[in-house]
Formats: sequence, structure tokens, C-alpha cells
Amino acid sequence: MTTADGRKVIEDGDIAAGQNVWQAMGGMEMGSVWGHGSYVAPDWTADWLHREAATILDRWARAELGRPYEALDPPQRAAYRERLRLMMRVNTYDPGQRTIVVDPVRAEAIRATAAHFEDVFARGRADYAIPAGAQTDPSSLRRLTAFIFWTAWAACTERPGTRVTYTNNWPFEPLVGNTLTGDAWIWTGVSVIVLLAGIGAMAWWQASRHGEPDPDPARRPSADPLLHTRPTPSQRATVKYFWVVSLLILVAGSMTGQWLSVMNRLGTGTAWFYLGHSGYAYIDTGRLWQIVLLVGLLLWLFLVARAAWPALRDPDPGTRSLLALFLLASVAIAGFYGAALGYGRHTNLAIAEYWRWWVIHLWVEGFFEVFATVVIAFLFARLKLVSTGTAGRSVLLASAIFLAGGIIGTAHHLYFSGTPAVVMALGACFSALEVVPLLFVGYEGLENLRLSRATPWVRSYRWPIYCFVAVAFWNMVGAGLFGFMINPPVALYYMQGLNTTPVHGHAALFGVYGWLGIGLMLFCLRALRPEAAWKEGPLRFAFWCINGGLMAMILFSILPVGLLQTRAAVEHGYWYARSAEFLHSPGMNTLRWLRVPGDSIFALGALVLVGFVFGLATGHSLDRSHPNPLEEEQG
Amino acid sequence: MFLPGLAECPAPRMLGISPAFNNLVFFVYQRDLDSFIFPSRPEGDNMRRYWILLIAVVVVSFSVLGWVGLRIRAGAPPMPSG
Repeated sequence: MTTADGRKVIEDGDIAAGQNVWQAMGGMEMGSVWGHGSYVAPDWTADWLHREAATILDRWARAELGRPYEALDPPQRAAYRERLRLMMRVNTYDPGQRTIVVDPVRAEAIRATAAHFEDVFARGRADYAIPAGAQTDPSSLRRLTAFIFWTAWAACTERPGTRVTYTNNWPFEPLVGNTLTGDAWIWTGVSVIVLLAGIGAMAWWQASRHGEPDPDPARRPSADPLLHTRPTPSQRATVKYFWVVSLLILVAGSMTGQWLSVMNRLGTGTAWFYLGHSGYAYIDTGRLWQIVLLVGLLLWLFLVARAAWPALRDPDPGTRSLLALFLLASVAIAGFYGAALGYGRHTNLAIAEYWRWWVIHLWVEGFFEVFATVVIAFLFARLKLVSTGTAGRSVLLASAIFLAGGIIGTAHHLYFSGTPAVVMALGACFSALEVVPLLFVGYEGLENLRLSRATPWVRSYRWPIYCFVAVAFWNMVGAGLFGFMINPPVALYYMQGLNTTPVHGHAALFGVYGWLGIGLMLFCLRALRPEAAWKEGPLRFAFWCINGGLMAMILFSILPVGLLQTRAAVEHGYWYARSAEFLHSPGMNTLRWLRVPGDSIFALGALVLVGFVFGLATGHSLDRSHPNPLEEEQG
Repeated sequence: MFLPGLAECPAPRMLGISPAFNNLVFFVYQRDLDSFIFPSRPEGDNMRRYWILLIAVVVVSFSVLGWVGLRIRAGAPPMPSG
């Protein structure tokens, strides 16, 4: 990269090497680029772009008018901004030479901005939670800043033949003419219409099902069908498997590797890539640990499939369908982590993002949803509270509906990460469809509640079932409402990477999969000793504390912080919403501290739940005054 | 579900739609959509149709997502050598 008169601005290979430096240091866990990453430090793309633009404006003003840019009259500032817009947005990339040519004044601004960033990473910034000495190697610092420059260059440079930048004009930065595109407006409107159409279709379908007869209550068993079940030796053996594979090898190994990488202890070779930190959020572990996790998941799949395979010969089509879907969801959960292997050390960030979202989105908003639906239906069928035919049909249709929006909906994470406009069109429309079944998930919650009261013995399963009701509630609120809040392109343009994202993320991830995990754990613990009655007080306390704490955390802290950030982004530019200047203002600090009550209530509930589970092993959580149904049977 | 007179409706002819196509739509509507919404077929038969629907959704959706990936690769911001 050179100036028009041939002077080098960035050395050959520094941008690609800088991407690796950024990854090895933790990448998306340390601020964000293109809006993807963590939220304490700034978005480096937006921060660089604003600093570079402001530096150029000031240099022009001082050189030509002898005054700083901020001291100029509005018409003079407007004239400089237009000059800046025309200079910054022009695409000077030469595909043949693989070079970019920049104006000398821009080269000076790049050097000044790079010096600021080198200072941030070398001397640290408490406001960004970056310690002193995060990166001290001069060549690594030079490469790191070259990579951050490239993300900002892509964000303000127009694609050949278009008037929008490689990132669809993201981030919002009026200084360089980065404003909402026509595509963003159009596909936001279309996505809302698609959502309304989907809701209409779903309401019609739900209404048509209203007349279906309920399963015959007389066919429900009079006693718990799992009363005489005992865990098999292979089921007990899985405990060892999870301890050895999950904790010892994977967690200890990958966390050690990540720590060494972030602390720059893995050298400048390739060890960071294989043993250290990938730099990509949610698939953070080094390549070796990713492969170990994939192998572990495939082993888990083998254990599940080996147990379920013989039951696939069951003559009942409902049972076969349920089991086949359960196995398919398990195959997808195990196999789709393989997409994490889709990127390599030198993969373009836009393509790495595509594969990263294959793992995160297709897991969370695709196959985990299918898995959750199948497992809950499977458990109710196992308890003979619903017929396998009804469960099989419902699960097949629900899976088709979830996946119809969920698979192509992956694109809604990629609106602004160096992708063409067609990604925005498909992502906006199909992810709007994802919301439709979530808005109707209340039917499922009510059905679960009804089943929890179906027969007297089901009462002993009521806390696992209440967890499944919580899954339905948070699916609607966390995934549906808060998900759609940040989903349309116009909304995400301003909200990407603000606290509005964890509003959706926390409510949906813990609310749905946290409660699903707790519900499944309680169901298994219940089924291990169905004859033993539980003390329900601690469970009731934990259930309401965890739900209440999660809601308090969202409503009193991260939602207001996110909405105020959104207003700041709309009024001043995206960089400002993520700046220390705004986030550490007194009002925002108070709102951030307001997380403490909700988080504390949540943590208290979690501790009581853990205590309850340990109490099951020691006997402290058992209600011995309750009659033992097995002894009653024998008596 | 049955809408009497749909097959004889003049609207399709006025719009230039052939009577044969109109009859086909009517047949699909009356025989398939109707029973899809209000299933009355044997359970195994319904289950097979739901499986076909699910497999079609998965195949078509992943084909589109794969095509999206190719477009992203072709349009990714270039990284200069310097």
C-alpha cells in the first residue's frame, strides 16, 4: 500500500499477518471488528474510521485555514466533509498488483491513527479492560494496526460499480458518507411484511389444529411408567466419558492454550493457531482443540446412536419418526461443529465469518431448536402423556417450520461483514420467518403446563416440566421479541455490537438452552430414582430466582444501556456509542451497576439449585415423610 | 375444506389460465391441501408426507445457503499484499 508518489504506507504482507496477530491476542474477545466481538473495548473498525477521518479534516483545516476543524463555520466544515467523503470512498484497489494507493494526507492520518492504536495495546487502557503490555513487539503492533486499518478501509470503500461500501455502509459514520443504504430500508420493510404474513399463516394453521381431538385421557398410565427403570451400566459409564473428554482434555487443554496465546507466550509462529486462540468468538479454541471437540461430539453421537438404533425397528411410525428426528438432530449437532474447520490461518475475514456463523447460528437457531423440540416431545411420549403419533407429527412439522427460516436465516448475522446486498435480502426475510414459530410457542408452554397436571403421579415431574415451560417463555421473549428487535437491517445497522445484542443473547441462550439443560438434568435425576420424593422448596426458590434475576438483569441494565447506546449511535455515529467517553459517563455507569441486583438474585438461585442437586446424592434434598410407591406396591 | 364452484370459476379463464391448469390447481387444492390441514389419512401416510416436507426444506435451504457462501467469497473485500 503506497501513496500516489510511491512511498510505502503499509509493508507487504502486514495486513494478513496483522489478522493473525489480532487472532492470537484473542481477536473478537477484545473489542470487535465489523461489529462482531465483545463490547467493553471499542469497535476497532468504527474507532479507526472516525479517528482517521477526523485527523484528515483537522489537517486540511489547519493547513488551509490555519484553524482546527472544530473551530470552522458550518459551511466550511460541510465543504471539508464532502471533500473527505469523495476521497475516502473511492476504490483505488488494483486487482492485478494487489495494491491500494492513498492520498499523502490520508497516509499521514493512517500513521497518526496507527500510533494511537499502538499506544492502546502497548500501554493498555483501563476503560477498555486492556492491560499494559497486551502487545509490546513492535512488528506485531505494526501488523495489528495494519489489519485494523484494512477493516476500516473495507468499511468506507465503495464496491466496484456500486455506491455502497464493502460492508454495506456500516458503520454509521456521517463524516465519510456511511449512511443507511436503500437495500437496508427495502429489506427491512419486506422482512416486516414477511413476518406479518408468517404470523397470519401460523395463526391459521394453529386454528385449524384446534379441533384435533386430545389424546384419550383413559389411555394415560395410572402410575409412573419409569418407576421400575434403572440406569444401565453403559449409561453410568457415560459419566466417566464426560469427565475425561469434557473437563480434563478439552476444557483444561483449550483454556490453557488460549491463556498462553493471549499472553503472547506461544511465539510468532503457528502454535497460536493450533494450540492457542482462534480469535473468533464462540469458536475460540485453537484448531487442535476444535478437532478434539469434534471427535468428542462424534463419540457422544456414537453413544446416542448405539442406544437408539435398535428402537428404530419399532413398528409404530410415530416412535420411529421421533427417534429418527432425535438421531438426525444429534448428527447435526455433532457434525455441524465441523464447519468451524472451514476457515484457515489465511482466510479472508468475510469468509471466516460465514463459517463461524454456520456453527453458531445453525446450532443455536437451527438444530438445537429441533433437538429441544424432539427431546421434550420424546420425554412426554416416554411418560405416555402424549401419543407417539401426535408427538411425531408435531415435531416433524415444527422442525420443518424452524428450519425453513433458520437455515437461510444464518445470513442475518452477515449483513455488514463484507458481504454483497443479496445476503441482506435473504437474511432479513428468512430470519423474520424464524420469529414466527417463536411467537406461537406459548401454545407449547400451555400444553406442557396442562400435561404437568394430567395425572397425580406426573406431579413428581412438575419441576422438570416447569423448566420446559420456561424454555417456551424465553423462546418467545428472548429469541422472538428481543431477537426481532435487532434483526431488521435498519435496526441492526445501528444496534450491531451494542448491549441490545446481549439482551437477545442472554435471554435466548440461557432462557432457552440453560433451562432446557436444567430441565433435562432434573428429568434424568427424577427418572434415576422415581420412587424418592423431593423437597420442592429449594427448587421453587431456585426456579423463580433464576428467572427473576435474568429478567431483572435485562430490564434494569442491559436493555436500557443498549437503547441509550442506540440513540447515541443514531445521533453521533456508531463509534460514539462504543466509546469510553459515552460508556463511562455517570448515567451509563449507574445503569451498568444496576446489573448487580439481577445478577445476584440469579447467582443465588443457581447456588441453591446446585445445593439441591448435591443434596439428592447426600439425601438432604429428599422428602422422607412421603410414602415410597415401590414399597407400597410390594406391601 | 371445499369451495364449491372453484373448478367452474370464470376468473382463471379471464386471466388467461388454461382450464387444464385450473383443474389441476383445483385437484391439488381439494385433495392435498385439504387433507394436509385436516389430516384424515392413515398415520404412516401422513408421517411420510411430513418427512418429505422436512427433507425438501433442508435440501433447498442448504442449497441457498451454499450459494450465499459462493457470493460472499466472490465479493469479499480484497486484502492488498501490502
